Amino acid sequence: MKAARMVAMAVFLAGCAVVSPYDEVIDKGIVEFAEQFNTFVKNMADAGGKQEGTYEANTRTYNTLESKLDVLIARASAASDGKACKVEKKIYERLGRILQDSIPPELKSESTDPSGNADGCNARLLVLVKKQLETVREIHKTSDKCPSPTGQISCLRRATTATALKIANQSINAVSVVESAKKNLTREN
Amino acid sequence: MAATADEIFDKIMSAAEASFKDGWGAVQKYAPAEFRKMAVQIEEIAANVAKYKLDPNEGYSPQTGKLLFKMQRQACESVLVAVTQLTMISVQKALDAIVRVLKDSFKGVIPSIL
Repeated sequence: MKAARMVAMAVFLAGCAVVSPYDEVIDKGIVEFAEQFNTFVKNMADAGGKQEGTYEANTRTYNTLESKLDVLIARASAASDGKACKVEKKIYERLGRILQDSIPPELKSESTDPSGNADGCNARLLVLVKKQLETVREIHKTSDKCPSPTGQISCLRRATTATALKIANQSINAVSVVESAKKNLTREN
Repeated sequence: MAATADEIFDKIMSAAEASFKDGWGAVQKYAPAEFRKMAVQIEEIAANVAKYKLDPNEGYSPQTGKLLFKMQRQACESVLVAVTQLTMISVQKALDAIVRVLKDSFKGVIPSIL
């Protein structure tokens, strides 16, 4: 009887997959994106104040980088079956208080869905990387200006690129760290 | 500036630690390093905006600082999602280990079911 219970327990536990499987396409895709994005932003730091460093001269690169992420997001979203991501509620509540700011609505609505699943978190991590890219684009287009012989032109200032890369790489690394941990989990089994 | 990187880091660490009583071990390598980065970067944004106000050729404008802070909030969410995922992976590891032990104990029965 005891043995039968243990067999039943093993069958039950074997069916308990709490994390989504490792995805090599996402793992390699985010590394490629990181390389291209970091190179691009560093090049923009060198090109500040020159015509080739303006937003208008670089819209194609932004489109290419965005498309790369769109492909990865579509892949992760298909796996999540349209479900969102569930984040530990206590953590974001406490951090929201510490940062003396209200919790961003997108964090509350999209990352704390009680019906969320692990694949939804994969998609969310990639969406956040895309949002970082969009914000860098917005800075380049609207807020950063550099002096040039023709007057002030759009650019990414050197100080901006340094901070933006550090921040964006946190989101990029979050994807890599999770995929790497899943890869190790797959190897152990 | 109102708060230093160390003060912000300490607050983030104590809050996260309290929330992760059980699964903290699984994320203790990743989370402190990322929370430290957040604290330093928030301080860096404030410092660069201050530089710009003194000399517009240095640092970056308050508008850029605001957008970079928005990016930092997004990065914060990335870290929280990753921490949650890493914790779940540690749970999965434990489940897998139990299943492995049971499989070894009931070699003839379980592999035929699973």
